[in-house]
Amino acid sequence: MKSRSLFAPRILKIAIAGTAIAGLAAFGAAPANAEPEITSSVSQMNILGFDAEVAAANGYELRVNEDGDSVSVPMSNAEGDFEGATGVVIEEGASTARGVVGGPCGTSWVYFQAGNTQFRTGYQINSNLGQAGSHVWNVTVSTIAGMGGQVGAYPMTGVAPLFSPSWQGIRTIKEQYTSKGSAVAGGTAITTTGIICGSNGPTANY
Amino acid sequence: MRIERADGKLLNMDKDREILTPAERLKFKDFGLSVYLSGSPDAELVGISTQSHNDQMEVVEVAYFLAPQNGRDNQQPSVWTWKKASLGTAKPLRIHASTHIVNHSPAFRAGTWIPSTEEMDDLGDGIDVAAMSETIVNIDGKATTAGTISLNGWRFLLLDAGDSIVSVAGSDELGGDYLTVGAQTL
Repeated sequence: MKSRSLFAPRILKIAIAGTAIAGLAAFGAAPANAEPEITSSVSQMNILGFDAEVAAANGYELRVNEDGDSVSVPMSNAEGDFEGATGVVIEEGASTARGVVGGPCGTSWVYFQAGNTQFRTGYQINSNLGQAGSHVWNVTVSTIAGMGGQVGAYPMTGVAPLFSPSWQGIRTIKEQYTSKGSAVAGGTAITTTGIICGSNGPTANY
Repeated sequence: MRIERADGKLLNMDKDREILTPAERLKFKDFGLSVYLSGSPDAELVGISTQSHNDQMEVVEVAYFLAPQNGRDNQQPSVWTWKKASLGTAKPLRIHASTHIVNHSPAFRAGTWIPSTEEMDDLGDGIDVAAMSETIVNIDGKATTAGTISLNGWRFLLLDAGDSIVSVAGSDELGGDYLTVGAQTL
């Protein structure tokens, strides 16, 4: 087994893994294999900030372009050369306290599947922002309905596939099955160019 | 920590070369069981992911990369160690294989496709019914029987390792070569 000679280290940064629990009302006892009414949710991810350490590990740094916007640029670029820049991280005049601008970053999702016995969640980074690098991701599942059900947290922290804008993970639901369930995916993904994207909380219900 | 390879060579993480970062070692320690790794000399460690439930770590995923070969330029095999006591109703092979197949899909990697629930269910059902054959893998120098299926040009292994279940996803050509090493956190 080789060490990481080909790749810069993929640094996982702990970020706020936003979670939320959707309220549920009805109580029921439908079996897991009953014909489910599946809904799903896709959210638009937002840029939350910039991680200089991750960017540097992958050969990028933040520079200000001629419009006054901060963009992630290959370190090898000469001064004033913005070829390969990956989107606006911080717009001119925006709050830089956390580098927050709220620009579009990609798409996140969570779906129930396998007769509501599993969920899958993932994200897809916009092509102008680099590739997926790592994520701190958590899905909160609630099956509370009437007097039954449970709430559980499913952290899924790790690395994304190499050379890809997308990642998806699957988990089997452990909470007691009821007729109503919800899943909320929260967290952040960091691109290989150091851009931090927030999930914006996609929610699925059945 | 040290890793014993199937050929008997011991790799001392502190002296020979850095394979695991301190954060990755901490994950291994938190897991509490041996974490299985690839023994392929061509596999380059990319990173480690974890799956937890209510603060209990249940699965450690070790991701690798193989240099382009045999006409395939995107091979990212992985070895997942599942805590058997936490499995519940989970089907390790179904989850690992469908994750691998989707994450390797050209359309998914191009950012042009997010699978539908129907597509995921069909994929999972296909994995469940795929014909499984036996193969021998080398775990810490010991020949061990594992189940294997081939699907969509990939090969998947499933192994009962006592307190844990080990699943492996990789290319059809290389198969069991991925799983020749077990790592024990000391």
